[in-house]
Amino acid sequence: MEPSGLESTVSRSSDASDAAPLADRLQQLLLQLWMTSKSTIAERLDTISRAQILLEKNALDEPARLAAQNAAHKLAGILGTFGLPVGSELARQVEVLMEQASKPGLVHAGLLPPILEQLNEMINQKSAEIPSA
Amino acid sequence: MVRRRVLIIDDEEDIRQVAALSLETVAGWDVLMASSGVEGIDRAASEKPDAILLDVMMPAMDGPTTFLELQKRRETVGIPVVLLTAKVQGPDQKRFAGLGVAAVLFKPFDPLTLSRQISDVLGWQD
Repeated sequence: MEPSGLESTVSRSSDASDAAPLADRLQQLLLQLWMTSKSTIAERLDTISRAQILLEKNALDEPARLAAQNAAHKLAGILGTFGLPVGSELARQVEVLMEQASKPGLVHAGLLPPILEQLNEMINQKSAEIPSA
Repeated sequence: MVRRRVLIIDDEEDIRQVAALSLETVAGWDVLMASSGVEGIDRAASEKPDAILLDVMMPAMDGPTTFLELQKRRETVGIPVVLLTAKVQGPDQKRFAGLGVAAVLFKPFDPLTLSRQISDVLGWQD
């Protein structure tokens, strides 16, 4: 593998009898990866938040809407892999809302803030799981 | 156990990293990575992996277009391709299935079972 080098910190195993320790090791590595991914995840949330503010002002342009829809799609794909399946589901809701926002007046701007608040909360909680060095 | 070589083609760094970590750690497979369709086709042709895990939504060349390009080339036409997508709507699923890919898997995936899912859909019994 060419990537993070995280795997070098933990030995590999594919022994079925070793399933629980394997899951634990994978979880450890995923937490390390989460730390490197969380800034990208935060940027995606920011993109959506900016679009939501524009939507509230009735000033959401097409590039901002598409960027937010794309950011939500990416969040939907990644959050569940980090153990946040509800986060993926919420992101999917945002993706649908942003798609619908291409038609003026179809999406009520007030729908987004509570979803974004939940997403932010989940992401902060996940980061809090990382033991301090 | 057979040590498989899988090429992951995805423009998202975090997805590539999680999938690679999963396949390496859980199954002990070798993982190659590419961040675009064009790079992926080149790597597939030169490295000849046992399978390709291909993202659907990518800028420039998307997954379905990349798959069709892979099918046109003698060096890559025989490599099984598994599409990986966060699109879960019915029409999308039908379109992807109609492409002729080996299988379609959905994001978010479970890192603990991803290698098993790939083995199952490709009929790898090792």
